[in-house]
Formats: sequence, C-alpha cells, structure tokens
Amino acid sequence: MIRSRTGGPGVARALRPAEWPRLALMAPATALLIAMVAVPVAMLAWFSLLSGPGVSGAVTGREWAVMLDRPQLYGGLLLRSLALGLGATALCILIAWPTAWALSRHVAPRTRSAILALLIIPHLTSALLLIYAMYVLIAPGGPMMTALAALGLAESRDTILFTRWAVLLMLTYMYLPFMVMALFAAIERIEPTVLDAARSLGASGWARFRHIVLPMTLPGLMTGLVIVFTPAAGSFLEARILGGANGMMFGTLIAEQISRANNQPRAAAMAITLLAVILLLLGVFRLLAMRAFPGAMRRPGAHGSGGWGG
Amino acid sequence: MAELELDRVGMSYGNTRVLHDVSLQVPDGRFHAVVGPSGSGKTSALRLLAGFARPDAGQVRIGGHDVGALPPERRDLGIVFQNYALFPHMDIAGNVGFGLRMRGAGRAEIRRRTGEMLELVGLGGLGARYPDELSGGQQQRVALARALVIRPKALLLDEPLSALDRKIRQEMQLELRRIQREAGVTAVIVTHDQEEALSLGDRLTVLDAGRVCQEGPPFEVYNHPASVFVAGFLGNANLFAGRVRAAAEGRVALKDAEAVGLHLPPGTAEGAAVTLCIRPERWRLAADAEGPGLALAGPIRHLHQTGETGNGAIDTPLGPVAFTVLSPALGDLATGKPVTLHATPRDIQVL
Amino acid sequence: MKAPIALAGLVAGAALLAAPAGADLPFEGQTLTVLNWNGYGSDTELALRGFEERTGATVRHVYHSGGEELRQILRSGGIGQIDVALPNPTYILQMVEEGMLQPVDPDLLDNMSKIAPNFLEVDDLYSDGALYGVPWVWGSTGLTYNTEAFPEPPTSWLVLWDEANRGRVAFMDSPIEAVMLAALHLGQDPHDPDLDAVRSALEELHENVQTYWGSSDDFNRAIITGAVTVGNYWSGNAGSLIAEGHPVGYVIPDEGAAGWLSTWVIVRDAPSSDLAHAWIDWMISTEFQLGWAEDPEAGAPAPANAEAAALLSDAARGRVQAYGEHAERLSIMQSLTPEQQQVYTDLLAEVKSGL
Repeated sequence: MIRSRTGGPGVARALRPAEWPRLALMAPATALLIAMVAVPVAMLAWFSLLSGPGVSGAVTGREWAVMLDRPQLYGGLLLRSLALGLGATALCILIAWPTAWALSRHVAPRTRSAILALLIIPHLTSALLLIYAMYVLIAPGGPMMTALAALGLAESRDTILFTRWAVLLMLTYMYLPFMVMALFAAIERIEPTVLDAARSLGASGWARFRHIVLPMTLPGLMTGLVIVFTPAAGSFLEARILGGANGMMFGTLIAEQISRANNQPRAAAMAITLLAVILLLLGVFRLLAMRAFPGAMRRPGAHGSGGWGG
Repeated sequence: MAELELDRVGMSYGNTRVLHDVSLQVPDGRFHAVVGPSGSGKTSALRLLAGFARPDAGQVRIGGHDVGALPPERRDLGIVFQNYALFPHMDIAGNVGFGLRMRGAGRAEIRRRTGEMLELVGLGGLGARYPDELSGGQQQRVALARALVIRPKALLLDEPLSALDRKIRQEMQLELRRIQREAGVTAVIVTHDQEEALSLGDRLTVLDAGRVCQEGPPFEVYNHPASVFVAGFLGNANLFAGRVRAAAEGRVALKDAEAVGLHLPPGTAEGAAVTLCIRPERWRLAADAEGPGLALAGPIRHLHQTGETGNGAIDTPLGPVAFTVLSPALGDLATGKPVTLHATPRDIQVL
Repeated sequence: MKAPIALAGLVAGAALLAAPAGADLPFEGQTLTVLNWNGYGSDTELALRGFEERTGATVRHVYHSGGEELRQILRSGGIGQIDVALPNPTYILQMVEEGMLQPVDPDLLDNMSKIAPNFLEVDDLYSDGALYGVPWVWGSTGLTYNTEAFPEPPTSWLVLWDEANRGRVAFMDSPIEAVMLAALHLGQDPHDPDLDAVRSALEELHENVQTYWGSSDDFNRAIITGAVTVGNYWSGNAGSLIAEGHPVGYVIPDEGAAGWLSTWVIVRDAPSSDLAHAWIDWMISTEFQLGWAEDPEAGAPAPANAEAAALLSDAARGRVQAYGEHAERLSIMQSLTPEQQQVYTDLLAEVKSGL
C-alpha cells in the first residue's frame, strides 16, 4: 500500500531533493507493475469491446452482449468454476492447517525441511505430469481403487475419474503446498508463550484456536486464499483431463474461444468477468475477516510505532 | 488468594533431571522470589506451579489442594511472561479482558474490571491501543493487568523485567511490589537477577543445578549465605580460603594473613578448611590494622564512582580485593595509593 | 559463395561423367525444395532415393510444425525458394487468395488416374475450377470399440447413443468432428446440417459420454484402462492400438465418417515447376505409396492411390486402415468460415457444459 504523506488534496507540491532516491528505487517496480499488470489488463478491456473473430473488428461491445444473452451458459459455468475453486480452497485450508501446525510445533527442524521439500518437489515438474499421475492413481483398476476394493470399500472398477470429485481432488492436491506454506509461515510467527498465556487465562484448546491461532494466522490464510482460489477458479486443464464429460469449466470456454473460434474479444470479456468476480469475492472474504477480527488484519506498526528506538 | 506449595518435587526432561527434591512454600499474600543462574531449574519450578509441566515425584499444591490433575487453564493462576506474550491482534482492553471473556463474564463487567485494572497499573485510557504501539514498560504493565484482572489464586512472574532497560526495571520493581500489595495476591517471581530477587521477595529461594541451596528472608540469605555458591551468586563477595588455627579464639590462617576473633560455626574443628566471605561494602578504610577481624593492606588497583557509592579494589598477597565506600570517602583516595581495609568479625561470614 | 557453387558444378559434372551411357535423367543436377512436417513420408530413404533415380534431382527439406507456420515460412521468403508443400486442404483456399500457390496441371501427372475418385471431389482442392491440391494420403475418424465389450462389431454410430453405453463413450473434443458425426448420424449433409437438430443429437449423446478426449493419449488411456468401451477415433491411431495387440476394433459405420486428406501443392514461382510436378507424380505413384504403407515403422496413413491400396498386405491394410469401402463412405473435412468456427465452437461448448 502506498501511504500518502503529502499535504491537502489537489495541492501540487515540488519534490524535495531527498525524495529522488526513493522515487528512483521505486521506478523499476513501478515500471514492471505497469508493464506486467496495467498494460495487459487495459488490453484485455480494450479487446473485450471489439467484435470477434480476431482483434481487428469494430468497437461494438457485441461479445459482452452475447455473454449477457446466455446467462445460463456463462453464468452457470462461472458458478461451477467458483464453486470448484472454493471447494478446493476449503479442502486445502482444512488439510493445510493441521499439517502446518504439526510441522511448526511437533516436527524437528531437520525432518520439517525434508517434509516441506517432499511436499514441493512434485510441483516443480509439469502440471500435466501431475494430472496424468492422478489419472493413473484413480483410474478404474488403478492403485487407489484396488486398495479401496481390498478394504471392501468399493468395487475396483468403480472410480471417481471423470467426475467433478476427481477435479476437486486434483485442484486440492495441486494447490495444497501453497496453502501449507502460507499457513506455516503464519503459525511460525505465533510465540509459544502467547498460547501459554491464553491457556493460563482459562482458554481451552478450541478457545485457543478460535481466539488466538485463527486470528493470528488470518493474514497468512488470506494470502493462501489468493494464491489458491484465484488459479483454482480459473483452471481448466485439470477438469479437461480428469473431469471427463463433466469437465467443462469457465476457463475451458475462455481457452476454446481463443484456440478454436479465434475470438479473443469474447475470451477477453470472459476473462475480465472472471477476474472481477474473483476480486470481488476476495474483497468480501477480507471484509468478513476484518469484521470478525478487527485487530488481526491490521498492518503492524501502522500507527507509527516500530523503527528506530522506542 | 491461596498458599502455593511445591512439596519435594522432582522433574526430568528426557534423561536430564532438572529438579531434585525441591520444596517451596509461599504463604497467602506473600511475594516469593526464586533466584538462580540459568539452568538452575527455576523456570521448571514455575512451569510446575503453572501446570505446563508435571512432576515425576512430589506434589504441587494450591490452597492446600493437590493440583496435579488440573491443566493450566483450570488452575486460576495469573502468569506474566518474560516476553510479555501479549496478543498482538487484540487491543489493550481486549488483552486485559481476555481472561474474563474466557470465564464468561458479561460485556459490562469486562469493561468495568478491565478499566479498573488498567488504572491500577497506570495505563488508564490506553485500552484502544495495540501492543505494538506501547513501550516495553507499558507492555509489561498490560501483561500484569491481564494476569491480575481474573483475580488469580496467585501470580507467577517469569523473569518479567529482564527485557526492560535498567532505569525502567528499577521503577517497575517498585510498581510490581505496590501492585502486588494492593491486589493482595500471592506471587512467585523467578529471576536470575539477584538484585531483583533481593528487593522484591518477602522471602527468597536460591536454586542451583535443580536443588534448593538456601531459603529465607532476602537479607538473612544475603548476610548469612549458607554456601560459597550463594555468597557468590547473591551480590558481590570477597572469598578467602583459610584453615582454622585455633577454634576457641576464632583464629583462621589465610595464605598470607590471619583473621582473629571470628564467629566460627559451632563444632568447627582445629585445622578445618573454611572460606571467609566479606561483602565489599563491609570493609572500612582503616589507618592501621587493629582490633579483631581481618585487615588487608595494599595499593589501590582501580577506582570508580557510581552515584552515591564508589567501588574499588586493592592489590594484596591474596589477590585483588573489592571494596565499596560512600562517595565522600573517595576524595582522599587515588589509584596506586596504599590503604588498609578492615572488617570486624561481625562483617565476616565463615563458610 | 563461389566455392560451393564451383563444388556443386564439379559434383554435377562428375555425376554426369559417371552416369551410365544412355541414361537420360531429365533433371540431372537440379534440387527440389520440399516444405513438410519432419518425418512425414517425404524425407524417407525410399522417397529420396526413388526420386533421384527417376529424375537425377536431389531433395532438400524445410520443416514446419503446423499450418500456421507453413504459411508464415512462405510469407517470409519461402516463395521463389520452395517448390512444393503439404498443407491441410482446408488451408488451400486462403493460400490461393494470398497468392501463395500455382495450379497443378493434372496432365503432367501420369499417376493422377490412380487416385481414388472420391478424393478428387473435395471442393477445397479447387479454386476457380483449377486444381491446386493433389490428394496423397488420408485418414478417417471412425468408430473404435473394445472387442471384449462388443464381440459383434457395431456397424452404426447409433451405438454411441445407445442407453446401454451410458458412461462408456469417449467422444472427440472437436467442434467440426462433432457436428459432422451428428449430421451423418441424422442422415444430413455433414457439410451443411441443420444445427438445431445437431445440437439436440449431441445433447442426447452427452448423457452417454464419459469423457471428451483431447489427445490420442487421452483416448488410448481411457479405452485401455476400460474407463470407456467405444468412441470416435482417428484411423491411424486405432490401427496402432490394433497392431499392438490391444482388444480394439475400428470400423467406418454405415452412415459414413469424417475424414481428412493430405494434399501436395505447388508454390507460386517454384524454381522448377516441371520438377515439382515430377515430385508429386512420384509421391502418388503406386511404388512409393505401397512402399511407405508397408513399412511398419514409418507410421504411414492410408494411400490415396487406389491401386496401391488394393495391393496392400493384410497387415499393412489393418495398420493404416485402408479399406476401400472406408474411403467410399468418407466425408472429407472442409474449411470452415470464421463464422462457422464460432458457431460450431459455441455449439459443442454448450453441449459439453450440460447447461
């Protein structure tokens, strides 16, 4: 966040010489931000107003009209993608919290590094490889179904392959390490004595989670939410391979508009819609978090403490 | 408020025995200091009282009841931690009111008692601030208020002042004492700082290597240390090894000097090895070596003034000997000038 | 640059001297430049040696990795350098409009008469009545099934719609193939069907589909693991599964099937138009087509030369799926207008969404 320290609004003000180094240091980041974020988003917005196919059509807004004209298809796919993204995010949180907790509090540092490495290494290979590995794992007659069959829990020819459960499983697996990392970093910042203090003041296990761990890991959780929910809601490769006939997602349609219909304007309109809805949802989550724990989402030292001396 | 008791407790971490047969008794409303070097087991003793650890042997009693089966959250003790352990995501009022919330107190009651407690610790009006907006001393007061507001059976303080700088630490010692008295709460402070232990406790216990070395009122322990360790650990001490020459006359031979008229412990035999302990402030500057006791002469090795007192040392055949005198007396002294230090038998502790 | 030219002249001269008396090779010392996929028939030993023996000319290859790149190479200096290329016929019309191609003179091709007649009926090969593309090899998207699940080979696409096969169908994730297949199933013109009827048929089919496959890997994995038992699949890939001994069968159903052609074209300003014609004539000759298809390692599609197809061994015929009756029931995929691409894409997307 950029904090303004200038005077009244609208007052033009000469830069003091002392500010030049600060501006110079910020320049590369600013340029990068403009080049990598502002320009592409502006181009997306511009493309979305053109008439497809191609990007040389007239400015008509037709592709938006087409979208709004078929709320059942576009809205339905959007809801499906969001639901899947939220489901995967929720599962990631449920699995990552105890995992991160155990890693931080109950595992020796050397073992911990090994476990974290094991968690991450598969994700350094291509996503496609992971998806096909999951395919083999859950295919009928594959290792997982055979194991379940041996336990008498399922027929070995049964499978969740080609269902949305498979997609949910894959997305959860895909993004779990990111959530573990985000929560692990947050949990590491909780001093053990803070929990002891809460305990001595009468807080039971659940109360300590509810009043101390949850709010203190909330910033990490929010970070995890952004890095898991955003790509999960926009994903299509996982659904395309593992979702079978149920694998059509909002992201699939965006990709097809480009690769098959050469309709970048329609794809741009859809991408902007997805982006806006995701940002809106993330904003709502943030707001809810701030409501529930006003102090937890505070930026430390926002009121001038910290820095030199004290 | 209640009496706190450790009754011959033992405790181990894995194969390491950290407490041996340690007993501690803190009567209702009293302030007890547990002091010892790091690794002495003093923090383990506190964790036993708090319930974060279980003894292998012996009993922990609060108000006369064995609390071995009670987890920390049900012991009703207020604990103040070395790093304050404030909840960074709660404002000061939230921090102080937390224990009351956990006890299901109503909103109005929480607000009232939190306010009262913040007044007591001198932080009235700061309830809406967050911990990272307060100074170290202020945070310490919040931690204290948070522990006291639940009207605990006792207050446990784990090195509570060690993170503060010296001046604030001395202020806070007085504050701590005042607040403890006003609240009338039984308190145990664990510290490695002998000065803190001496000035805060009604009584103190010296721990070393998991065992109790000595227990008693602070100045009793200070003036009559039971061992060389206690003498050395509590305050500064000049220690001289010697051998009893004549028990009846209280005559002890040192390496290159002799002390006479000493009060030897009853039953000390002729020829026994003893240690003489003389606190620096017990020396008097003497013109000549006269009268019973011990006199040592030598040139002044160094001198420095610390406010109302001055510290120095002289070179003697027994090695450097530290002394403390009131500032006015420093005027006549200078480095290199030969002086004689004299201690009467009353000033000499025979160990 | 001088030395290589001198060297080339020297080599050519030497070849001329070494040539047996009476050998009259028409293109001795010339070079033909071919633009093609890497490893797609034209750069085999058979193709190069055979052409040199017949014409005395050597062959140079320039490789591309798809239709877009092929056109890009021609745009950026390929014209005037490259003699022949092998685009998908759906690109021919656009390439003619861009002035990239010159017509082929069928009278210069002795083997033209051996091309199966139905392949010459494809509209995309012609522009203003002139022939631009010469059919070379072909493939189909037929009914592929697990022989254990279907001991009797199915003969109709109806099997995909059969309620008994709910959740057992792998359907190709391609708008044009989907529309053509549904049209054939409905008895309509696969190149211009009633799209509302097609949509209804595909929506009905969606109930049976287990997965919309996107790559041959997807289909192979699904049918081998038993996740599906039937679907539409490319002839060449199905032939490979059969050749590898998997319990798989392949048929062109009675309604017909979508198919594709690879066609040779001659680039405008080709350095030697005559040599280009000679190359194409060799490529469609019975000798080359038979030789390529019979090589089990070469991965050849089915030959467009009907004489070669008739002479194939049973093993090769099964591998390349070159059955005469298959060729007769094919509807070759034709180029779509951008509007059609949009409509077909949206149609299949809506079907797949289930919404």
